[in-house]
Amino acid sequence: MKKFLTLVCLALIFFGLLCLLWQISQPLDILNRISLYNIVFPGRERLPFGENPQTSYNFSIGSLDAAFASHKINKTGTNSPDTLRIITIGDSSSWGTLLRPEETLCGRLNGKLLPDGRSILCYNLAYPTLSLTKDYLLLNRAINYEPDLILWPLTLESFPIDKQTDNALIRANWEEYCRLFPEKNTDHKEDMAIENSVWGQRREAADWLRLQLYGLMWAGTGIDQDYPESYTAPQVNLAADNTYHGTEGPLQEEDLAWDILEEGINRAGNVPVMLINEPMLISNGENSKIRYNYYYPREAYDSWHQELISRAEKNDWLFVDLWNYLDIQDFTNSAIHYNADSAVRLTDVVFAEIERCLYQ
Amino acid sequence: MKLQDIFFLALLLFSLRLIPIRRIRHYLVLICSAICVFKFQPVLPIRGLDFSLPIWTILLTICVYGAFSKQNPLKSKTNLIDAAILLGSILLISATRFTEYDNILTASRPPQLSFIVPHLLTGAVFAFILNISAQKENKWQMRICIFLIIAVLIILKTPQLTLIFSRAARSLNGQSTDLALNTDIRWFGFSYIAFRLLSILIDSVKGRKTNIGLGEFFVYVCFPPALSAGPIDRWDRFTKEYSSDAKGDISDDLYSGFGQIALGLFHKFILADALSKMALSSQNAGLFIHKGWAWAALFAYALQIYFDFSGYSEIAIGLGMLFGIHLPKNFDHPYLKPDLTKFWSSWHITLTQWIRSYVFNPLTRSLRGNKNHPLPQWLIILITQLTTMLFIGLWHGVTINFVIWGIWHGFGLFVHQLYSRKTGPWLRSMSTGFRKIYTVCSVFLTIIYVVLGWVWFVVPEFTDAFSFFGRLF
Repeated sequence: MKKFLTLVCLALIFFGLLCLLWQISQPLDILNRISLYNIVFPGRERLPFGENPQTSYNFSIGSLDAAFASHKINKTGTNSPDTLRIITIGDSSSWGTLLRPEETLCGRLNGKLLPDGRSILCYNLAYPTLSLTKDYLLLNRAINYEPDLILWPLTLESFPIDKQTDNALIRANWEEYCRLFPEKNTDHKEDMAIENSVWGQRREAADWLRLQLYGLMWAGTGIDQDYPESYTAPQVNLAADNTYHGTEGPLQEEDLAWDILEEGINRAGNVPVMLINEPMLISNGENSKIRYNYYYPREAYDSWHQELISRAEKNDWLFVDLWNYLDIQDFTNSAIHYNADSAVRLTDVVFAEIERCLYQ
Repeated sequence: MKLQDIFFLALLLFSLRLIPIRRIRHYLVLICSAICVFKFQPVLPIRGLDFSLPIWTILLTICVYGAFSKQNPLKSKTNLIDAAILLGSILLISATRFTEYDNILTASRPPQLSFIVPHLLTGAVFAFILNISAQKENKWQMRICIFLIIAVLIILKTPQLTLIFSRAARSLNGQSTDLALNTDIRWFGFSYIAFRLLSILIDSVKGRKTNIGLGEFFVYVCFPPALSAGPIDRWDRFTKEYSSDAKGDISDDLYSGFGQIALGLFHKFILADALSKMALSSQNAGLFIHKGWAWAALFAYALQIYFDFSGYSEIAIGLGMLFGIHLPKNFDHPYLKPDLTKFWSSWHITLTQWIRSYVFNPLTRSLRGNKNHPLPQWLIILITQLTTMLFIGLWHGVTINFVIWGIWHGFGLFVHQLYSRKTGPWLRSMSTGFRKIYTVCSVFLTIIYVVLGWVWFVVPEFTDAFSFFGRLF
């Protein structure tokens, strides 16, 4: 019995020391920056996101450090004069739901040759969540990779105030959000000992490990999302509802996070930011006179759209308006997710715009 | 077994060991074993089936006991008490239906008594008839039991047959037959239970004395730690140790038992579960576009299945030690063996030994015994190895991929035996240094052969498996 009790005591002491060491050193901050991607496995083409890891070999990881460490952008060296480095941010539409990495806007831009002989090197840093604040967080990190141009595809659904912080990515990176938006931080949490303990950080640590493990399947198959054989097409027959996030009729300035958009463009500094008003499904079905699609009543969207155009003109922003560029059949499983062929057409327009703004 | 089940079992088995009075301990073990049969059974979509199958595990064990036991159970007080405890446990478990915690011991809410009683009566009648015949020194009843157990095993392992039975059971229950799946009928632990029952039946048919009590026999068949994934202990060794009062040093067992459990948990829940995220599967076999990573996924699978299986075995051995039962070792570094014969002597050792005792040895003896038309030695080796490995393959499932997997290993063993016969003297004359190099190369070749064999094991469709081989080379 003595032998057994000694073993139990030793195990407890070892565990206690491990907990103490963890609490003091907070290894997750370092661990999240270490990745097998770009060393053992090729870097990911898109930020990790997925709801069905068994089939997508990918999942939504909270830590932006770990997500960026797994991305191929983390391997890039200094800017080469032979390339034009472009970073795309944005939502699921630019991340490429149901599209393979090479089929997205960014994927299609990759390798395109510019008249001056440079080729485009595009990094997809979009993340499938509709929120300008989330876009800002990504842009803030993207700047560190010294891009020549940032493409910021956006849509009205990213603008409402209530969409800004109510998402998993912001909650998981709350400290970073508070640092970037100290004036918006009304409920700053004090660090609690339990949150910094092994127990409190066990999920984050397990997620980091899972991300590394899925690297083999990513490397072997090139698959990073679930591609179902069939999916439900977006609604064309719509409800007779003119309200948008509780507001009826045209939207007011205070309903939307215009300030985040402006701060994002300012944060980019000398790096040009090209705003792209994402194409969306324009329904011709029931109640299509009231609504464009599942997301937007016509009045609300039109008021936002007009405001976006006028702000772009007033501030001299690079702006590509593609809101009505695609037809109903070009959309896949949502009013903002387009198919691979449409991505080719969009890329041509965006590429032409890039050339125009570079050589005008 | 889930993590909480393992911790609960560890606590329970150790507490049972501490009970000083042997009879009381035995009765409690009997009750716990019966409860575990129900507790571990997964939920099934066919109404009442997840309660029926555990009942039949118990009844089948009693029937088999009746078939080989030459005692009249009505004259044996201990057997009567044991039978009463087992049947009482079923009723006790079914009575949870009337409590707030109606699925605390079962996968779903226990069915009504009117559903259970016919099962019990049928089982009792069968056991009685079989036992009357056994007392008259007949053997046909044991042969019937062997046939029935093998038939059930074949049904459970053949997807087409389980589908037919699922449809039939659904139809009897008034459930939609359109929703029937071959996974509807999953009898927890039956592969292992069947082999334990078969071993004693075959031994009895051969005339071996099987003088054990019903309770001991039931605990041997349904010993909770070994219920889900073995090891398949020998009945004589197990019952001897179980019945013995001297169960070894409690401190040593506690120390080694927890060590084994910790190792098993690490192997199963950390290594195997982590490897499963990167391992080859039937789902991803067709998706690989890079040769190197396809190999990596295949090796990940090889390690995953090893750690998964050996992890469960270590947990079972550790749990057994806490109770004072020393279950046999099931894995002994199989991937480090220099040839296929040694690999199979160290992979799922208890299953291999079972097959050797009840399939390989009798078959070899019968092939060699034909003095009028003697078969050439190489043909005997080929037939015995192929039959044995085919049997192991079919034990995993009656599907074409397991047949090929069995043949793959049977053929490998045949080639190795012929090779070792030819090269034996030459190998013995090797210098030590050269022999070391030779052994390293042999280990490497054996691993590659075994790992390639796993493709057949993991990919059920022949064409998919073949196409995966194409991706590897």
